[in-house]
Amino acid sequence: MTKASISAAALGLALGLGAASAASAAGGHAQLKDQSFSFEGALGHYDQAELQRGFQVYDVVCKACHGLKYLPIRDIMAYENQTGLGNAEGPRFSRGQAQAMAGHYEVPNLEGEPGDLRTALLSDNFPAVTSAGAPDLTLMAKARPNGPLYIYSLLTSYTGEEIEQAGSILYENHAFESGALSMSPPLSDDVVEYADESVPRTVEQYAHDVSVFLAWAAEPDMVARKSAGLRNVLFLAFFSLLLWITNKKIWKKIKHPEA
Amino acid sequence: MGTIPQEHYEAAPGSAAGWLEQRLPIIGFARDFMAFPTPKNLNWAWIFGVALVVMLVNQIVTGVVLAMHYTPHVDKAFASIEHIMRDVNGGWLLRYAHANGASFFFIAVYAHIFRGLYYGSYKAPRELVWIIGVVIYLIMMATAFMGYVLPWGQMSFWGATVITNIVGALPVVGDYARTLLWGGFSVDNPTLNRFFALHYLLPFVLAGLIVLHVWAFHHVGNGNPTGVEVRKDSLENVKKDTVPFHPYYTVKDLFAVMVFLTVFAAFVFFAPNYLGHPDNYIEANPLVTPAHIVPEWYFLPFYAILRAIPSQVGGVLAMFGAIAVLAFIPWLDTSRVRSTRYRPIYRWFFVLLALDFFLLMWVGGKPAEKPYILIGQFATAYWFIHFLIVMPVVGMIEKAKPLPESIEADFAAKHPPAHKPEAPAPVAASPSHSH
Repeated sequence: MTKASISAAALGLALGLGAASAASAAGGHAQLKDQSFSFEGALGHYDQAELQRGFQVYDVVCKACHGLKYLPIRDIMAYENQTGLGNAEGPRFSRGQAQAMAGHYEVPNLEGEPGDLRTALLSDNFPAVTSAGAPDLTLMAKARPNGPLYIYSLLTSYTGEEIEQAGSILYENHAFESGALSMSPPLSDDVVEYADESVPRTVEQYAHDVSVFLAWAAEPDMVARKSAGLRNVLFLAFFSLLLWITNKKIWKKIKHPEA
Repeated sequence: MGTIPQEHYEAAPGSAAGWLEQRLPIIGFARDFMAFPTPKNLNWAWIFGVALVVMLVNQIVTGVVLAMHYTPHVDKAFASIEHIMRDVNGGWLLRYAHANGASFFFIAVYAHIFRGLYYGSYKAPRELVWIIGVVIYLIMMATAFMGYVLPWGQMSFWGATVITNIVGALPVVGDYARTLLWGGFSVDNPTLNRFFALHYLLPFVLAGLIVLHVWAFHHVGNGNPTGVEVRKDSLENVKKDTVPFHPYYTVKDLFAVMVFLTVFAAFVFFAPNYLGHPDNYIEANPLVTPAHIVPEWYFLPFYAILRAIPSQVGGVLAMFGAIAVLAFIPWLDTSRVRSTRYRPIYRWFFVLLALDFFLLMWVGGKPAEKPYILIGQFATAYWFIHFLIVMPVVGMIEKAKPLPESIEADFAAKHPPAHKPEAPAPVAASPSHSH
C-alpha cells in the first residue's frame, strides 16, 4: 500500500475508534467531577480500607432502597484457601465479620411459604430490593460511562434545590442526565460512623468509599484480570519479537540469495 | 491443487503412508496445501486472512464454552452472564475474549476487504473468491448481531427491536420475515431462543464458506501487490515467482497474528468494555427506551446509510444495497490493471472511499440530528457513486503505469542482489505490457 493510503487508514481507524467511544459516551449531559481512584490504570489495586468503609456506607445507607443481587455475600470475605471461597481483592472481612454482615440481610425463604424471609447466609447473594423502584447497584459502575466517577459525582452534586414535577419532588443534581432525580440526597456528614477516626466523616469521603466499593462489586475479578493481562501482553509481545527474528532469518535467503 | 504447477507429494511405495495415500490421499493433500506456491512479493496487507481464521477459531472455542454456562431465557440470560463473570472459573476471560473477539474479527475483515479493494483481488479469475467473501461478511454481521442480543441488556433488546423492524420494512417479505424473527408479536423469549440457536449454527456455516473461499483462491492462485499473475507455463518459472507457503508464510503470518493478538489481549485485559456500551450492563426492559440506541462500532457505517435516507423503506434498501453492490464490483471495475499501485487516478478515489467509510462510521455513532444527517447523506452518496460511477469510468479513461514483467522482477527490484550493484533489476522494462 502507498504511504498515503496507510496514513489514511490509520487516520480512519483513529476516527472509527473515536466514533465508537463517542457512541458509548453519547447521551450524557451529566457533569462529572474529578476524582482519582487507586484501581485505575494497568497496575491499579483496590484499597482494602476504602472497600470496607464503602461496604459500610452501602450497608448503613444504600441498602434501604438498592439491591446488590448479583454479588454473593461470601465475596466480601477474604479468600480462604481451604474452601476456595471469598475474594482476594475485595473488602477481605474475616469469616466471622462477613457472617455478621450477612445477618443484616433477609432473603426469600424458598423452603417456607411464598413471601417468607429468612436471615441471609454467606452462600446467598445480597438481596434484590425492588420496593422503592430504585435500580440494583451491582453493575452500576459498569452501566454508566465512567461509572465509579459517575457514582461519586451523583452523590456529591446535589444543589439542595427541590423541583416539584407532576406531583412528585425531584432533587436538582448536576451529575444526573436530566438535571434532577427522585432520590433525595442520601448522604450527609456524620451519617456513617467509621471505626477509624482519622477518616473524615464527610459526604465526599462517603461518596468516594462507596464508589470504590461499587466499582469492585461490578467486577470483583478486575485486579486478577489486570495482572493476568500484564503477563499475557508481555508474553505475546516477547513471542512476537522471537517470531520477527525467525521471520527475518527465514526470508533472508529468499531476499538475498547470494549472502 | 489448482492451476499453478506444483511438485506433488509422493509417499514411498510399500510404506504405511503409501498404503494410506492409495486409499485416502490425505497426507498428500495436507503436504500440497502447506507447500502451496505463494507469490513471494506479498506484503503485510496479506496477513489478515490467517488472522481471520484465528479469530473464527477463538470465537468458536470461547463461544462453545460460554454456551455451556449461558441460559437463553429472558428471565435468566442477563443473570447467567453475571454467573459466567463471577462464578465460572475464568468466565470473565471467556466472555471478554468472545466479546472483544467479535470486534477484532471485524477489524481484520475490514482490513482484508480494503486490501482486496486496493489490489483488485476481486477481478477475474477471482470473482467467486470475492463473492463468497461478501457472503461470509454478511453472515458474520448476522452472527455478530444475534450474539449481541444474547446478554439481554438494554442495547441487546433495543438493538434487536430496531434491526428486526428494519427487516420488517422490507417490501413484500418484510412483515413475514419479521414475524419469523420474532416468533411472536415483539422481541421476546422466542426471539432470544432462535437467535441463540442461529448464533451457534452460523459460525459453522462460516467455516464451510471459508473452506470454499480458500479452495477457490487455491485453484487460481493468490493475488499479489502487482496484480501480475504467477507465470504458470513451467514449474521453473513458478519457482521464480513463488515460495512454498510453509515455512515462509506460516512464520510471517504467525508473527503478524501474534502482533494482532497482542493488541487484542491489551483490549481483553485492560479495556474489555471500551468497545461495548454501558447500557448493556442494564438488564433489558421493554418499558424503558435508552436515550440513544447505537449499534456496535462495526455496524456504524451501514447504520449511517440506513439513517441517511428519509424514508424507512428507502433506508433499508440503501443499507442492504450498500453491501450488495460489493458483489458486483468484479464487473463494475473496468480497469485492465488489477492493482491500484499502478493506477494514478484511481488511487485517490480509493483513499476517498476509505475516508468515506470511516466518515460513515463516525456519523453512525452520532445522534440523528444536524449536521450529522447531511454529512451522512453526502457520505452515503459517495459510497454508491464510487462503485457505480467512479469504478467503471476511471477504469476506462485511466492510463495505468507500466506493470513489472513478473513477480520475480518486482521482488528483485525491492530486494536488489547485494553483490551485483552493476546489474540492477529490470524494473518495468516493457512499458507497453499489460495483461
